[in-house]
Amino acid sequence: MALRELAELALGAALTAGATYADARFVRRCHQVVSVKNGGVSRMAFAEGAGLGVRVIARGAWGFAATSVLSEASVRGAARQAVELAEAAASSICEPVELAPVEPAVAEVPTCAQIDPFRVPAAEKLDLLMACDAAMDIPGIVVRQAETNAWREEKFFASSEGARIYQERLVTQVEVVATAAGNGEVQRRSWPSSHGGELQARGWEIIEPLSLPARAAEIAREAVELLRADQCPKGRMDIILEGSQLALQLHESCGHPVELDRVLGTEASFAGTSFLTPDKLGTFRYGSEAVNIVADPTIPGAAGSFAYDDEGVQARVADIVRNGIFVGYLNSRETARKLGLDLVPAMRADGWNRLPLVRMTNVNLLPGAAGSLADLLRDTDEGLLLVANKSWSIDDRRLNFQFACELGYRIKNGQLAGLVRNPTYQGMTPQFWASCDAICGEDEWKVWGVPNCGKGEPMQIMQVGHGVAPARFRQVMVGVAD
Amino acid sequence: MSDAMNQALLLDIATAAVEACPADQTEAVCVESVQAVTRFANNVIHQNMADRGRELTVRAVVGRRIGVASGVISTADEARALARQAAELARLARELPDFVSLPSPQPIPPAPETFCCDCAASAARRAEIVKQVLETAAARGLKSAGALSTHVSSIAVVNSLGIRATRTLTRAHLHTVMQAEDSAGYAAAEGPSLADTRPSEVAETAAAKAELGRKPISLDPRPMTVLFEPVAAAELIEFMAFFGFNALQYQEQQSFACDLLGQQACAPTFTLTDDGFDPRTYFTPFDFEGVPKRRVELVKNGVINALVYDSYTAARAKPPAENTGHALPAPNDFGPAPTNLVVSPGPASKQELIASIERGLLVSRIHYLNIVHPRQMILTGMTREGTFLIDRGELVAGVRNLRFTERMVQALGRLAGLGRDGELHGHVWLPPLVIEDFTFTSATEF
Repeated sequence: MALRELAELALGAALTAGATYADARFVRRCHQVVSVKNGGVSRMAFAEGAGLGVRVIARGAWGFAATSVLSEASVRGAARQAVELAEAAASSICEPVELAPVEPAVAEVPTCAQIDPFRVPAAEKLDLLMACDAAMDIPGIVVRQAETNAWREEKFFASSEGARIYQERLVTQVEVVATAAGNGEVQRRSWPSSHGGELQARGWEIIEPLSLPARAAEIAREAVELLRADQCPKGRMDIILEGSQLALQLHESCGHPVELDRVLGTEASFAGTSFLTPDKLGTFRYGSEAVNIVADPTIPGAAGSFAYDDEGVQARVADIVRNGIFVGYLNSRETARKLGLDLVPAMRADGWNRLPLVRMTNVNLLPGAAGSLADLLRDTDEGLLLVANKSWSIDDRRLNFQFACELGYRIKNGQLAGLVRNPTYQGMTPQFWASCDAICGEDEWKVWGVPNCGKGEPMQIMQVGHGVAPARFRQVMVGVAD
Repeated sequence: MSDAMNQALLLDIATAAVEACPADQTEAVCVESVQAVTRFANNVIHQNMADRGRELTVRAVVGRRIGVASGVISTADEARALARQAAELARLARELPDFVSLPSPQPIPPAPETFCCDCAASAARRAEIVKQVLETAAARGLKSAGALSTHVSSIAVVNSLGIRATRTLTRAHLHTVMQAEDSAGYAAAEGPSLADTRPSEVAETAAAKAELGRKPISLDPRPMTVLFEPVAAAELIEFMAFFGFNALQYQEQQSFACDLLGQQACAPTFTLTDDGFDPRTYFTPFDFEGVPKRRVELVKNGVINALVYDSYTAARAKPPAENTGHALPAPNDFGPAPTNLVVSPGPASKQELIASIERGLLVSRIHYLNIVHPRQMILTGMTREGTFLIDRGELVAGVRNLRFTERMVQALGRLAGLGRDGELHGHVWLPPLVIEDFTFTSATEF
C-alpha cells in the first residue's frame, strides 16, 4: 500500500476506534555525516528511517502512537493504540481539548535546495574537509575537526478535517573547529559559528561562499593566540554581540519564553515555564524601543522555515516584540484557542514517532539603524565584542542567564584593542534587552541556524533559525566565571 | 513475544548483517525498544504517547577506513542491504590512521535478569499511577506537572571477530513538580520496575517541599555550604564524569584529568566508581561494542584514579591501555563514557546532614547545567523547585533560586558530608552530598 494510502488508513482506523479528531504524519528521513578529525575520517555514516505517527483526540484528550512497520496491520494498530492512550488520559481531564479552526490545506511543497547534498560525491566532501584540516594543522592545535551533515526529510500530513500536505526539506550543515592546548589551558574556535556551524534548509550551494579552508586557518591562529590572551575583565561593561552569539541569546531569552505551551504550564516539569505570562501580552516592556522581534517561518532556506506546520497551519509572519513591547506568542491550535489568539504556526515534531510541540521557527531580531559592525564599533568608546558561543545556561522561567563565548575583543576608543579569553556575561532578560541601544543594519543581518534545540519528554531535537545583526548592550556584567 | 525470543531475533538480524558485509571487519548492533510516556500538567494528563522501533547499526572496517550505516529494519534481507551500504561507505572514506581493530570476544560475566514485564504496562495502568500524583496535588491545592515513562529495550551486539552479546533492560521513571502560588517542590524516582517509581512517596515529597517553600526569601549570592539531594547531585557528577573520565577527552587534552590524574583532588571520603554489575544501577554487562564492562575506580579516596576506554581509545593510548568496555554507539567521536556511576555512601542520614549545617542551603534540583570550561571543569547552572535555607541545623525557609558557577572537582575537595542512603537517578547512584563554600554568583526572581 502506498504511504499516502497508509495515512488515510490510519485516519479511518482512528475515527472508527472513537477519535473525534485525528491526524497522521508519515515521515521519511535520512542523515549523512562526514567528519574529519586530526587528519583521519572519524565518521562516515548514513542513517535512514521512516514511520507513521497518529495523533488523536478521543473523549476530549490527546493520544499519540507511532510505528515504523509500514503495513496495514501495524498502522491500524498504531491508530487504535493512540485512541486507547487518549481514553486513558481522558479519565484525568476536566475540560475537553478544543482546537482553533483552520482551513484544511492540500499542497505539495518541494525543497528550495539547488544542489542536493546527498548527490555531492563523498570524495569532494572529503577533499574540502581535509583541506580545512590541513589549514588548521599548526603548532599549538591539538584537535582539528571539520564536518558536514546533510538531512533529507519527506513528510506527508493528513488530517480528519481534510488536510493533505506533502513537504520536502533538504538541510546542509558544515563546521570547522580548532582546539588549542598549552600550559593547562584549552581554547576552541569554530567557524562559521559554534555548536553546528552553518546550517540552512538549502543544498550544497551554501558551501562555496564560506571560504572554509581560509577561514579554518584563521580560527586556528586565533585559538593559539587565545592561549596567551588576557583573561576577560570583570565588571559592568558595554558589550557588542556578534551575530551567532546574539542568535543564541535571542533563542534562549526570547524564543523559548514565547512558546505558549510553556507559558500555560505544559512543560513545567522539564523545560520549565515562562516569565511572559498572558497578563503581560500587549503591555510588558520586554526590551528597548530598538528591539523588534518576529517569528517568520516563510524565509526560504532558513533552518526554521516550513510551508505548513505539523498541524497543517500555513506559515505566516507574526510580531513577537514590537518597539520593545511584548505582543505575541508562538502557539498551536489548542493553545491559541485557550487564549483567543490568532494562530501563529509553530507546531513541529521531531520525526514520525514524536508528537508535535510548540517550537521556534525563525525567531528574528529585526535589523536596526546602526549601520555596519565597523560603524557600531566606532560608536563604542569602551567595551567588549563577544564572538561565538561556548556555553549557555538560563533559569526555568527564562530570566537569569549566563553565556560564555569563544573569544572577546577589547574595544577602546572605537577600535578593537586585543583579545581576551574565556569571556562570560550574565544578566536578567528584560533588563538586558532594555539595555540594547543599537542594532546593525540590513547588510549585517543574517539568519543563523541552530541545529539542536531540545524540548519535550521524550526529548525532541529541532532545527530553528534566528535572523540577527550584531547589537550593542550597555553596562552588562562580564567576567562572571573566573 | 518473550524476552528470550526477542533477543534471539535481534541476534539473528545482527548476525545476518555481519555475515553479509563485504568488509575486513564488521560490527552490527541491533536495538529494539518500546517506550511510553504519560505526561501531566495542571493536574491533567495532557500528552500520552507510545512508540516501538527496531534499529540496526552496522560498522564496516576496510583497512583503516570505517563506514557506518543505520536504519529501521524489519527483516534479515534489510539487514544485509544495510551491511553492504556500510561497506560501501567504508570504501568511500579515508583512513583513521590510529584505528587498530574492532574488539575480540571476551567472556561476559552473567548478570542477573533485569527484565521486569511490568514496564510494558498498559495505558490504563500508567494513568492509574499518574492519578495518584494528580490526586495528591488536588487534595493539597497544588498544581502538578511531570511524567511517567517506561522503557523496555533489547540489544544484540555481534561482530566478525566472534562477539555475540545480548541483553534486555527495563526502566521506569516518575518525576513531578508540585507548584504552589510562590513556591514549588520536585521529586523523582526510578528503577527497573514500575514499583520503583513509588508514586505516593514522590507526590508527597514534592508536595511537602512546595508547602515548605511558601513565601520564599531572597539571599545574596555568595559561597555557601550546600546539601545536594541525590537527584541534584547526580547531574553534577554525571556531567563531570562524562567529560572528565572520558579517555578521548583526556587524549585530546580537554579533560581535567590531564592536570589531576593521580592527584588528591577530591576529599578523601569521596570515591566514585563505574560498575555495570553494581545492583544499585541498571545492569550493563557489556558496552556497545560487546565488550564486558569492567569495574573502574574513577576516584579512589579522593584521588583522580582512572579513565574509561573503548577499543579505539585503548589502542591509541600511549602506552596502550586496557579496554574497559565503555564504548558508546557508533558512529561516535565523543569518546567512551561511564554510565553506571556509584558514589560510595557515608555514614549519615539526611537528617543528620541537615543538622550538621550551621547555615547553608538544601538544593533539590538543578536546571540547565552546562560546562563553562571543560579543562577546569567549571560548571554553571541554576537551582529550581525546592531550594531551602538551613539555619542552625533546620530547614527554615524557601529560597528564591540561585545561579552557581563552580569548579566541580575542587568543590568535591570541600566535601563535608556524605549521606548513607542513596538513590538511583539516570546513570548515577548516590547519596546526598554536602559541599562547603559552593559558589553562587547570581539570583533570579522566583
